Amino acid sequence: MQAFELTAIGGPWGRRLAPRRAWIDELPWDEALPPCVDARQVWTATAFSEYASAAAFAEIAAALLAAGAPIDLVAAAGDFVVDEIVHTELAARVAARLGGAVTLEVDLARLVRPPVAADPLLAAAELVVRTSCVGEALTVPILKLSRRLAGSALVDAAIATIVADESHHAQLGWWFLDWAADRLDDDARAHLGAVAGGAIRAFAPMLGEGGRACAPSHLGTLGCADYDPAFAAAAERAVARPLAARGIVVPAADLAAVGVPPPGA
Amino acid sequence: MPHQRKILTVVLLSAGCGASSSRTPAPAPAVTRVPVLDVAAAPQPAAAEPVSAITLVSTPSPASAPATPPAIRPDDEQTEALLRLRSELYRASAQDLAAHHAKFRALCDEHGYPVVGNVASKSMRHDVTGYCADVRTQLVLRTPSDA
Repeated sequence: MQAFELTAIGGPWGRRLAPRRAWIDELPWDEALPPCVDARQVWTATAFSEYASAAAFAEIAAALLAAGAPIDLVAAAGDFVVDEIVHTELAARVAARLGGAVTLEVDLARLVRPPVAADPLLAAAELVVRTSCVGEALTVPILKLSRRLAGSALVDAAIATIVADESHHAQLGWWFLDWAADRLDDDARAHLGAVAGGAIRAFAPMLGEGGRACAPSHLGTLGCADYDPAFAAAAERAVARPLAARGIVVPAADLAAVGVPPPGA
Repeated sequence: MPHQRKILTVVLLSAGCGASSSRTPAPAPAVTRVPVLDVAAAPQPAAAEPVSAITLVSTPSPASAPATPPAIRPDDEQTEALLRLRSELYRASAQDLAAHHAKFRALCDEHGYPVVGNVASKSMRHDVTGYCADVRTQLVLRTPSDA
């Protein structure tokens, strides 16, 4: 474990990245914001989430190449690495603007859970389902809610841009599954359903109040009264339903673990 | 020597959250700002600098000092360890605190890999009062057989 830190080296590498991140400087950084511990923690965690997502799309790009996926899909996955790196910087700057990042212990050697499937196509599908069809698909509605309750022009603008990118990142998953549909048998689909379920269930510890006061939502944070129902709705609508439409069923127990009621309830 | 710029800076802060609406200017806090990322300035050759810095930002300014001695010592008279503990209490769950975790950790799955996506936006503040209340509750709920 190590403290999460970021550096930029500049020079030709900074100039190469500059067009992709120039919009960050246009955000209303001069807005007066109250120092907020909750928001500092959330935006520090956001910076790391984006960093881990960059690693995930780097893995996906390699896996798509190994699976012989369409080259424009591969290029998009590689390009998403840049998106996530820019988001990482953005989140770090928002954390700084709110008073500074908190100490976050991370393990950079374990950023992306490796696929268990040996078959290159199924291995790619595992990565894509976990990252795009679950992670990015959940992110969009949660961040939209965070934006609506942000109460800050800076946070609003920051989240708006992230959401626009994450929508494309989620779409990559559905396009990949549709392309691979003819080569995914029932066993593969059942495996992918379990993969999605595990990724969803991993959020269960975040849900509920856990004996703590339910903080209000603002500055990009969501209190439990807003977060928990939004997460359950997102898991059902943005993940389970579109996966089911492709023959991939998320186990009901995994959905129940995050508050999704059983069908017909 | 390559030029490195700090992007993520770790800061200890004792202040709580301000008003949820921040479109109106808030009083400027007595903070020591750390330049986190100077993107406008052209990179100049420089020695590599530490990538992380810890700065105490809640030190009250002399102008704002009360006439009577404060009941609680200001942060600049507290030990760094105490300030860090107070910051961690805001975030940590009772289970984490009971396990004496010293730092915040990214939310991970059962195998230690980060949860996917960017949905860790839930606010889970835990203040000292709440933590102590939890501890008292746990003590009350313990039965003799647990001891």
